[in-house]
Amino acid sequence: MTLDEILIKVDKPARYTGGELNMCLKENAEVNFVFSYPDTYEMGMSHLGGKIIYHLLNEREDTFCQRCYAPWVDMEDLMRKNNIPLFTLETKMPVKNADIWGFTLQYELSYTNILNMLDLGGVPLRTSQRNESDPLIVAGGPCATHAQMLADFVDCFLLGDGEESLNELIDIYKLWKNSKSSKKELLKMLSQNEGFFVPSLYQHTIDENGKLTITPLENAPSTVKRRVVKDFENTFAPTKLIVPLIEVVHDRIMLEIFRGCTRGCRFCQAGFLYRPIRERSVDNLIKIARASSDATGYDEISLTSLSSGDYPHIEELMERLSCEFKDEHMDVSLPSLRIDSFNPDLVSTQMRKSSLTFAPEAGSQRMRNIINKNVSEEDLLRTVRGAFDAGYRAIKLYFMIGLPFETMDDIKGIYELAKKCSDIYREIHGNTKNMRITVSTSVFIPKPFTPFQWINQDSEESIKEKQKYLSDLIRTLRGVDYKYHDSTASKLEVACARGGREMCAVLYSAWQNGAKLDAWNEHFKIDAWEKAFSENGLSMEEMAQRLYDVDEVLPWDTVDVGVTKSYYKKELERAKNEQTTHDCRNGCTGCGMMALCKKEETI
Amino acid sequence: MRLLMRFEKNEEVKYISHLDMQRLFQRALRRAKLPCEYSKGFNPHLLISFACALPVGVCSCAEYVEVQLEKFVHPSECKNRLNEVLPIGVKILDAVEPADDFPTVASVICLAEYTFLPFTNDDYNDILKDITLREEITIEKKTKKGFKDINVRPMIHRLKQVDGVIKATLSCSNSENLRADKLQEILEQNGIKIKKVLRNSIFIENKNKIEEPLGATK
Repeated sequence: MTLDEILIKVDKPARYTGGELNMCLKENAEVNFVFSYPDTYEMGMSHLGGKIIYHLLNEREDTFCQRCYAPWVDMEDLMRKNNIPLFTLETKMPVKNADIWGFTLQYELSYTNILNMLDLGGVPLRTSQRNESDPLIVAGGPCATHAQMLADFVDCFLLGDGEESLNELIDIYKLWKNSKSSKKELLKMLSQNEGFFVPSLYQHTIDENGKLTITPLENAPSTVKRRVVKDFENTFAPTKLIVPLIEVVHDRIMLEIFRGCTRGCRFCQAGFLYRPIRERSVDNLIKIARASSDATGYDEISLTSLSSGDYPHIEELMERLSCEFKDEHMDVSLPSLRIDSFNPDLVSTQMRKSSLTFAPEAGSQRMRNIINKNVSEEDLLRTVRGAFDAGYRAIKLYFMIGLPFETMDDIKGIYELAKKCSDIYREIHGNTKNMRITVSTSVFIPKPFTPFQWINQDSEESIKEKQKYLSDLIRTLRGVDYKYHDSTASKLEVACARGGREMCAVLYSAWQNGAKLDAWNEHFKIDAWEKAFSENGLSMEEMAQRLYDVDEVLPWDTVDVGVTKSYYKKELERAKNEQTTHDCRNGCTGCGMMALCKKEETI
Repeated sequence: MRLLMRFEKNEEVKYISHLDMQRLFQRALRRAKLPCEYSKGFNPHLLISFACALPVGVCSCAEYVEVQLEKFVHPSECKNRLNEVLPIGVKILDAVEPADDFPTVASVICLAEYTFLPFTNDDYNDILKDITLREEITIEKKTKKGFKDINVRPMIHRLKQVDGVIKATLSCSNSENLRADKLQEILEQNGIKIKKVLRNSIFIENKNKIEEPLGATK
């Protein structure tokens, strides 16, 4: 069958055809780069980082960056049956013809897709099996800092902001290409640069007590620093964005107002991985928004950051945006609002009054102190009152369960908070007839590069007990629903996030057992994973339950994200003592990144 | 001001749905900075209407879209400005300002003419003749209540092989509509494998005359 005959048979064929507005085409580029988000087109095209990388690389005359996403199962099936190798959207070039193939690692449950895509592309999966003619396989994104599970498959990880390191990657690659030396040489060259982590140059050995030693080889540095773009104001912001022809998850202009976060919530990996905070000016943001709108025709702008309400000029920005796009029917949305930075005035400028989502994260004040989510019950209730007063009838409250040092009283706190919100509604409206409060809990996942990186995950049994307890309590409240996530996937996520190189074999087995598209409920095969663990003599449960010693070598210790280990230890101690740490906008807390912070922000 | 345009949907965008096409036009109109009118009310949306949905996978050089402008812009200027900002595969062929009493194309559309390109160069006239001689051709149609058998033979007005390709004229009104992909199924059931489908033209019934929409506006 031809590609055309296949496309008419699959769901959403336009996922595979490219040709969108503002797509880049180039002839005779020196370096052919393929960027992949290892999930479907709709997910990949919603990712801001991918847009930055695509346009940043295509700004270079010597480089042609094309895209390729994971095909859905129906397409994969027909591609395999008809021997069609994985191809790019831009020119339908087989991906294996690329010089460099880069993946972004946004979540652990996308790793099997990477193996599947390499296989579909006809590229040997393991670094050791690939030869000089195969593309260089690189990976970046937040998970690249701790993806030991991919160490056998990825040639080089790019740590931190890609805006500068990607350009360096291309420059080094060109130098190497002209030198006609071996790929091993290329990897050695890369490893000598800040932010380039070549896993094959680090030997991991585990002694009889299960303790890890890491030995750098070939003069590789003992630790690799994460790259940080210092001048965020003037760093590249794409405006001539690709406009998908089909609907994708986030189909709008994403205006990145700042990078980083000063809050220091102890569970939040992004809060540590993107330090320090770097802002764009209102003038610049207006320019970017205007250019993006003109080039795309989008009718919605979403302000993007880890906590948009923390932007010091947020009100000025909202006002200037509404002025700039007056009479143009532009919707401006403000996701990631924190409870304490929530301003009903900001919300009332938004048109749709469907529902508002808040994330108190924990039910009791004690627990919120432990995780350093510096939000008080008073803040939350005041905000909820404001929302109900402004005409909202539905709110969603997000919590985590299975948090470190959690007790049943903390779980009960979630119920009590929901009840108080419901009482406020009754007070305002006289009844709770049209009220809808949704309480949603996810299972806490201890992540590398957070103060909780050493802590074990709560057991499945305990999680189930807590979910049942909370469910029984909430059932007594009218108009309040309780939704919770399955704990099995989160167990796997912990094992993937904190596991060492032994996880490479597990990943390979899981993929062989048919695991793929793990982030999609309908395709998540826990059996394939369970089998993969046991085939390699490991246990998912044990890995999720593993309590690391604060002084032992961790599998991700080669990576230096900038925040010191002693700071994480200090923060863990403070958590145990239920002590909070203040927002570092109000004074440096000594995380180790001071040299990169602006002076005026470190009072 | 009413602005009625005929456009083509080519290979590059043939897999996008009717809804995708609406979104595509809304964005293109914004990029072209045409003074489009929006609906009043709580959630204003751009006033835009299409004549007739095209099945996914079918190309066309007879698609029609109508928008409302807040003030007059010469139709040929609208056409040029849109063609500068439309993605590859969509092109405005013609634009007019219909008279105030001219009905919307969607309300008076009656026929559509298609070209089906077979995979092989064989002579299919006997098979086509056999199809047209049948009194009944039933297909399953999805309705709100489930599936229903309907006779589509009266909706096939012409079915002939001309210069190797198959030309078909099918009903395309609100009450009687035979989609191109349904006829393709019938052809394939009768052994004619189809490679490509193109909508050549649509016709409206206006003041007792059957004609192409832009011809009727003049």
